Amino acid sequence: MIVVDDSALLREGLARILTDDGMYVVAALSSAETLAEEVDRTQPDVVILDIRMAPDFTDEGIRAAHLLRARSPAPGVLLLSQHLDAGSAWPLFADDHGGLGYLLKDRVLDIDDFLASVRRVANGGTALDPQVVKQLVSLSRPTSPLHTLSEREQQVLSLMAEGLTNPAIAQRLTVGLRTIETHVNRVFTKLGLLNEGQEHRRVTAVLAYLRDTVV
Amino acid sequence: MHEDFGFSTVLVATMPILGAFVVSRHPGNRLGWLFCMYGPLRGVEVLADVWVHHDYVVDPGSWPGGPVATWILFAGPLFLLPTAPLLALWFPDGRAPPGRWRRVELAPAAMVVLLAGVLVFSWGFRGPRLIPDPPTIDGWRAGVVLGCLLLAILAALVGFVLGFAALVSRLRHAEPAVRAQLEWFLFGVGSAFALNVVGDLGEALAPLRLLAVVVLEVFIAVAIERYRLWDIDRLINRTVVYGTLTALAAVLYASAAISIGLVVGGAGSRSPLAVAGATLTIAMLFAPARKRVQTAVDQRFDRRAFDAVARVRELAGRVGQDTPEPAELQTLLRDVLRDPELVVSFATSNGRFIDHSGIEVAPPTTTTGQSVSVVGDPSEPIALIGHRRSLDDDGRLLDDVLTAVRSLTDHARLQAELRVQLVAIQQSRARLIDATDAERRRIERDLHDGAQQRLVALALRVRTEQHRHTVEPGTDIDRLLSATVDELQAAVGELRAMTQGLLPPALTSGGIDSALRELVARYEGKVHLLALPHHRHTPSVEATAWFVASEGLTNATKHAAHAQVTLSAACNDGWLRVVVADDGPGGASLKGSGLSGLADRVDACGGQLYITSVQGHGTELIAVLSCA
Repeated sequence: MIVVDDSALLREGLARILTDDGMYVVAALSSAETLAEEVDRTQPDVVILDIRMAPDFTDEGIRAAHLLRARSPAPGVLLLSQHLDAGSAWPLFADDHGGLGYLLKDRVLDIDDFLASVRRVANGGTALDPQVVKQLVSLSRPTSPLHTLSEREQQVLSLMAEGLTNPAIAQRLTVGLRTIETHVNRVFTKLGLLNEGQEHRRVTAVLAYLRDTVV
Repeated sequence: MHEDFGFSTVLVATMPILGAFVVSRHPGNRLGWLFCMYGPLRGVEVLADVWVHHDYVVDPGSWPGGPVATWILFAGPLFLLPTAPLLALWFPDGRAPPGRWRRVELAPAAMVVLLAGVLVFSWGFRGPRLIPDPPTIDGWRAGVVLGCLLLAILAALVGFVLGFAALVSRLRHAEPAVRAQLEWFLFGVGSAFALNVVGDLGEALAPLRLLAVVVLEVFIAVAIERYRLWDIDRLINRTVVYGTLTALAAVLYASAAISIGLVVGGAGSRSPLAVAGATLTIAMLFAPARKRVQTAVDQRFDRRAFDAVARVRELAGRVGQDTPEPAELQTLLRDVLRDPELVVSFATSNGRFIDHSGIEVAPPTTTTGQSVSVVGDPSEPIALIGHRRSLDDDGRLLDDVLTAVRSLTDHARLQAELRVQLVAIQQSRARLIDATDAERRRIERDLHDGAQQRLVALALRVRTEQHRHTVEPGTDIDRLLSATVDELQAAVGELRAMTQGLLPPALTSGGIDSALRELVARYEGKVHLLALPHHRHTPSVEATAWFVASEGLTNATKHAAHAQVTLSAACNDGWLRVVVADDGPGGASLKGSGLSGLADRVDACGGQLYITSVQGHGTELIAVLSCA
């Protein structure tokens, strides 16, 4: 793990919970300037990146993420944002590689969920903040087939988009795995999507679908 | 003695002065030499006249050379004859008009030859026979003399008629300046003629004939020198106006006096009442009559200037009813003065110049094709008008229009100056808004990178300790820590909501697109985003669009809680339209909805905010912003 955040308090807090959970934090940086060298040196599984940092306080984290994604092998990237501003992160989600996350900063306070997200990203999965998914859904066109989904199906769709696997969704909603699989299939049918099975592909397809149906 | 001795003496004394003046000022002008020659010729005549008078009438035989004097007196003055057609032909530049008019010069030339014959052949008749008029001479030489004389007079007549025709032709075809010169000349001739006529009426008025000579010479000098050339129009105009008025007044006075006299005291009485009444009538009628006559004369004599002034007055008359645009003044002047490139530069109080839209410009300058006229007092001009140079030579058109346009120009300048101030105010308003936005962004960033960040870090710290089970789960202290984290989270949420209301960072990074998506996602009710702009705009336009959307949604929450809300922001033809519509109860107004601040903001961006809200038909808040 590499943690990049300009707030020392948060950086250390993050490093502590990650370490407590048995992960290795190989570097904690206050800016993205020396990130490339650190990644070369330490080959981390995941880089946790604050979006707004010195020097300009705009989208330094996103720019750094693009550079990281262009590497081979690319480390997983988990972006942390103080605000819901996923628009600028979209281009990152457009590629087919897994190992990408976008969370609101205060999501880290749900430590267990946060750690699960980090693990997902480390394993090539996706972690999208529920708020972002909610935004996407709320932005959909009035004519979108999304509105034909039942409430439970919408919930399942949102959790899929967040990057959760079927068992994780079942656990979150405290229902049986079977039920979830049924829901997932029905969602895919209603939206006319192909259920490819592979977890990250599934997330990408759902995200692309949501993006396409918004204005 | 010669009957016109005084007349001739004045001519002898003054003509060489006029000639010298013209020769010195305009050496190429043959008229100068003509005038110079005229004086001595006339002088010889006067001298011969005095000589003959003394030698034959006063004291016969007392002076020698009497016969020679008679010969000189007989033939000499004849040489003055060709000057009249030459004057008409050559005026004002000393050359005949081009073309066939040059041939008219043959007439004076023939006259000189014929008169030379008269001079030569009348030598033999010198003495008393030449004194009476006509001379009592006979024989073949007398035939030659009389024949030549007759032919010379004929040539003089022809020359004079053709000379006058040349003058008229020149008057009709010449450029305006030459025409004005000819008008001065003709006005002088007319005045001299009138003075002569009056001078012939009685002995006491005789000096007027001498005055006539001087008047004619002065007018010729003025015409050739082109001194105040263009005043001739006004001079003629006023002469005609006041001449007509005088005639009218005379007729009116006479008829009023007679009719009042008849009513009051019977025919033939000259009661003081009749005189007073007639005078009063004239006095009362003078001002309106003058105006009428003036208008009539203006219309008759300078239609173009009259029409131009009338159009200026028409525009000026609109001031007060509606407000003519400052640009209209320039358009009007271009039109009436027939100069499509005419420019009006208004002088501002701080010594600079602005055009009709209030933009500072360099004042017009005099160039080869353009000259500059001042409206108002030259030391404190209202405006400078740059116009084609030829307008300077176009009679009174320019002068009249400039005089008539004065108050209108003053008004237009005021308008233009207001515009300058308006532009300044708009700019300062835009600057204020930019400054406010910058401040909002700064506060947002400070809160984000400061307080909010710190609170999240603090909550994380507490949560970490909890997570490590350093406190026993379920104990009071554990619950306290949980409550603390919850409170901290709530504080972070509140801070976020607050900073979002300031100006979302998404606006800076992703433009209207990102910011509105975020706004809609945060909105508690149901909103449909119908359209979003694809391009970035200036920060102030983006911020304003965001404020409109944000305020619109807030209002919809407040007044149309369960309504269907749509939001769209689309760019078309350089205009960004932001529309927030709901199908709620309606009945809102821009004033009542607390949107006046927003309207001001939109206005400062060069846009406009509308609201359509009919009771029962929902509300539509529309902002149109310039995004060119």
